[in-house]
Amino acid sequence: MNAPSLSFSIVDDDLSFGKSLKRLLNARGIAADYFGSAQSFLDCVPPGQLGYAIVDLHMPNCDGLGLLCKMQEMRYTMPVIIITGQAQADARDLAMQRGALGYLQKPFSGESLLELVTKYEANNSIQ
Amino acid sequence: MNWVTIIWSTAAAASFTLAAISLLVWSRKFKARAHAFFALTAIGVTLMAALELLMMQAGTTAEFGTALRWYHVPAWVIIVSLVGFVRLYLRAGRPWLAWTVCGVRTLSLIINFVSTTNLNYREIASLRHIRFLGESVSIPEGVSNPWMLVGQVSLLLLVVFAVDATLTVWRRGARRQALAIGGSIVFFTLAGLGEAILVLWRIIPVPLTTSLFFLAVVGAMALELSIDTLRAGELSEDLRESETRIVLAADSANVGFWSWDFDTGLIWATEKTLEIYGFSPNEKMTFNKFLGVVHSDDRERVGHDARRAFQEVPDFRIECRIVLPDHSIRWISIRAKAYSKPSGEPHRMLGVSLDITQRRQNESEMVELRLELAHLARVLAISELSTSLAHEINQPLGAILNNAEAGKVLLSRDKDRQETIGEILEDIIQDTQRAGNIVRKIRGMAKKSAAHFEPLPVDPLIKDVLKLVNSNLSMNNITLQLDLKPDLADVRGDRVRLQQVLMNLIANAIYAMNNKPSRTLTIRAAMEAPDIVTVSVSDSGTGIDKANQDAVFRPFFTTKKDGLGFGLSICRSILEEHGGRIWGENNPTGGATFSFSLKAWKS
Repeated sequence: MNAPSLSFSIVDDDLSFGKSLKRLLNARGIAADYFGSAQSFLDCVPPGQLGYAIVDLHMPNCDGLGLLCKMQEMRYTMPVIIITGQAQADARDLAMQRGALGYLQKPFSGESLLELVTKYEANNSIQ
Repeated sequence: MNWVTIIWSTAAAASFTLAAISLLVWSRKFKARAHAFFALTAIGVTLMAALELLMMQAGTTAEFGTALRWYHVPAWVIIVSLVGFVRLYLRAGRPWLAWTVCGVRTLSLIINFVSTTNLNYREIASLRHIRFLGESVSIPEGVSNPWMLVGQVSLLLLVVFAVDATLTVWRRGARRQALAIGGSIVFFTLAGLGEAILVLWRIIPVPLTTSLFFLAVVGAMALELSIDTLRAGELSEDLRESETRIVLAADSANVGFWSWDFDTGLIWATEKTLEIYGFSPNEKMTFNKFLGVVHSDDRERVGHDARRAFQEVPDFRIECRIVLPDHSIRWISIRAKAYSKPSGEPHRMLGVSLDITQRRQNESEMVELRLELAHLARVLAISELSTSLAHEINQPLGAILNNAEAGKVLLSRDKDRQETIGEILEDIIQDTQRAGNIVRKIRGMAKKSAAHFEPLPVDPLIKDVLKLVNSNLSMNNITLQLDLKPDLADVRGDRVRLQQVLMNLIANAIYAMNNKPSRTLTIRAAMEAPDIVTVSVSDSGTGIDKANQDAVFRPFFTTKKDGLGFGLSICRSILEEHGGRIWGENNPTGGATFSFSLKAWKS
């Protein structure tokens, strides 16, 4: 599979998880950055930056859907993949409705994450 | 129509009939001695009437004299019987007076027979014939016997005795009886006495009608005795009705009456009692039969306590099992009182037996239920936060998976392999432990176990719980404020139970702030006294209703739509177990604060 050339921004308040995901992506040769909160992401990453955002649903102060909304407001171009440790059926629908690229439940394999991205890229390059 | 004959004969016959009836009654019940004396009085009156008739129809002075002589025998009988009747029936009249009357009258009887003619006349000279009630009757004329005075004194004494008795009965309250018997004796004796005197002193020419007077007295006595019999009948009827009412009431309350008579060895029991003990409706119950149905394990105890009731304390109270014919077991509660004879021997025992099988069953069910509920509440406390717990476990699991995958990828390459893989494995180990701890915490809370006290530092205790509830707080957009003083002493407590208390308080706080715009959870810990640590959980929610400030800790109290109402009551039990306190109050700025205090660990 072709590794996506763009970088990933991981936004999750769980340090261990964030670190592990970054490690995994890096091992696959994919650039990734870890941010501990929605605010630090917004502070560090400009709206125009290319790439993907992997955002945890449950974070204090500003949760995943909140960040998604903010990114849309501030015209971020990067698509958002929502991840979560919860097992709520309606959360998936809600996330997709709000315009998330995808929704993954922890624990998920690297494969499933990259599959989402690859599919998205395939669809969008046709256009 | 010989009216004299008719009247006197009727009088004699009537009196005789009354006497016969009374004797019949007395023969049935010898203890009713009043009836015997009444019979004697009536017989006396019969004889007196007969003799009076003889005297009135006497042809010669000798006939008259003999009749008059024998006349004093029934007179004596009447007077002595009257005294006896008053003493036995009215239970009145001074004994010494009674004996005096009898003594004096006996004396006059002796004098009567010792004297030449009789007590009244030294010598009867002749007989006069007068017209009385259209007949010709004889009345005597002769020399009076001064000893007659003795007889008259006896009559006066009788009157005195009767007056005394009447007053006693009157004061006692039985006024009708007093008047009827005492009054009639007094009146008619005086009348008789008066008449006799007038006749003997030849002031008025009439024959003696004393028997008729005493017939009136006999009539009054007969009336009283009849009323008594009627009343006895009524009382017996009332008693039967009362007994029926009691038995009905006892039956409807499933209470069995019984009475154990030692002399016969039999136990009288109501139908309900027989039913309770599983006997057939007409079976004769005895103590041995009763012991026979008592459960073998309880038999010794029951026998011992029953015997003890007669020796020491007269109360016999016991709860025991009995085995019914179909081998089922029933719990019985027995309450009885033992009565002993003056000699100390057992006389009887009266008691009630109650089937308490249902109550016992309910009690044991209640105990079991309570244990189940306590356990259930703990389980529920966990499930309330289960979403957050699942989330917490998925985090380390997700990280482990990522790390393991990364490790696999790196193994296929040379670059950075050793260092990175070392770090990966380290992180995996830590996350696995993290997941294991969480699982352990959950299982610990779900277990029914005895409290294990150890010294617990407060800071990590609170922070551990916060780790678990973190996602819940963020999910509900709750701001957390921590105010944990640095100088907190370690507390003596059971980690799992205290964490359960905190979880519960936090869960309640989260619920309370449900629809509030501003949600802040503040947790404080400070030293309230040198050896007491107080932890409080404050929310910015709806607060506690003033009326409920203490009620919130009671079981079944809840304001949640589908709450069970056990969380706080279990918290309270836990705090009590720890020798601490838990209380709730409203914040001046809105919301509530629940605080609990714990003893510091003393080494």
